[in-house]
Amino acid sequence: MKDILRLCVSLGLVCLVGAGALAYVNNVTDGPRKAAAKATLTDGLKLVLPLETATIASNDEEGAPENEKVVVIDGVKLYRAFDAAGAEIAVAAEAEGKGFGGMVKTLTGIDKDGRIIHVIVTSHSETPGLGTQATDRKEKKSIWGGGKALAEGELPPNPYLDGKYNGKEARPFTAIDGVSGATYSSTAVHNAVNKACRAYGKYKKN
Amino acid sequence: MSVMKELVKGIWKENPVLVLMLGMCPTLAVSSSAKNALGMGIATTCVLLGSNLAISLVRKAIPSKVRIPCYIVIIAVFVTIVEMLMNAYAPAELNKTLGIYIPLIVVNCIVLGRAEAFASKNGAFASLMDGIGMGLGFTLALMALGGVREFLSGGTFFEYEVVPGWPSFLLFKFPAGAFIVLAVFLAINNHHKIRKAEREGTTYMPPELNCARCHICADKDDK
Repeated sequence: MKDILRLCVSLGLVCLVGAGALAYVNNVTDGPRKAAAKATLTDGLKLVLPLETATIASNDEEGAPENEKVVVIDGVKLYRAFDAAGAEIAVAAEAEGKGFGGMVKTLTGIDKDGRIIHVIVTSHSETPGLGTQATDRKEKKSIWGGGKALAEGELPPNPYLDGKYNGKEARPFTAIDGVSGATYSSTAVHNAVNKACRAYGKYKKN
Repeated sequence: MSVMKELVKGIWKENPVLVLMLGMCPTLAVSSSAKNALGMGIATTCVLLGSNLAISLVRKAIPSKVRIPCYIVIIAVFVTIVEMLMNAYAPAELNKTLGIYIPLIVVNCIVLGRAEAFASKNGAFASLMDGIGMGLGFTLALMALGGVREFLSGGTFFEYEVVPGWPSFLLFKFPAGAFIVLAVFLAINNHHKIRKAEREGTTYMPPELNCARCHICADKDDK
């Protein structure tokens, strides 16, 4: 009996100290983590929106001016992009889908004709080398040189994302043509982009 | 001298992947390219260092009956803290490259295995050395596997094209290819050891079957 008590106390102490350390680090890093996430989002928005974009409505605080506000429809955040003259030229929709290792966050750029410009995955925890085939973009490089530098506004290729979405109309897609070895991850991207397209459709109707 | 031994043993004589057969799950899943292997190796080495050090410091305070749950809690806390710190302060590029390996480490059996087999019985400095050695050995084995698989599957190395026009050989990109390449590695390693033992006129004995390394009988009388 005494032994059990001793075991419980020592395991409890380890857990308590661990929980305390986690709470402390969580508290301290909360601000910087949010800032880092925001920086990632800003970089991502630049990638999926057209080059002519001058301002992006990305303010999600209460009481922000109407033309700076993020539009939220069914949990999907729509970031509107305006050109220098103040006309709306594109929308970037941020949506997420459930993947193999957690949520897969995507950004879908949609131009004013309702066609998808690019789809990028901003954060995920899929298995490197397998699931990442459906999410990550990587440049083609050769030790023999000859690789051409990316033009401005051009993204490193991902055959799955580019082939399925680039230039297509922003309506929910039906067929899931996944990447072999990355079924869960491609389904996650598919679901997230479909959510984005549905939200975009509702936004256009209003 | 013995410190060097702890450091070097992980790289070859007790390589976690090729000899101890620890961490097979990340080995098979993440060794599809040399870059992935390197990322996973670095991330694991860092966590292994921290957890070995922490566990060797508290080893005398933890009753042996609850040591495994305690180690798991310590390792999980450590990994989660590393993940939060990386999210907050690491450059975005580094976080994107290494961050995806972190969730894979929490349940990595190399980390728990070394905690149980080494850090819980040795001092802080020796455990640190063991962590570095095991981490390096894991990284090197993973990179050898990853390099071979990446080259065979697409003719590339570290995402740079080496042989233009190499046909895409998908088998090696998938876990099945990992099993094949790993099996070849193990066969070469074992062949080498058996031959060496024959030359010396002894019988080859895998280290994990050796009584000197196993503490199960000795540990029966709990503290």
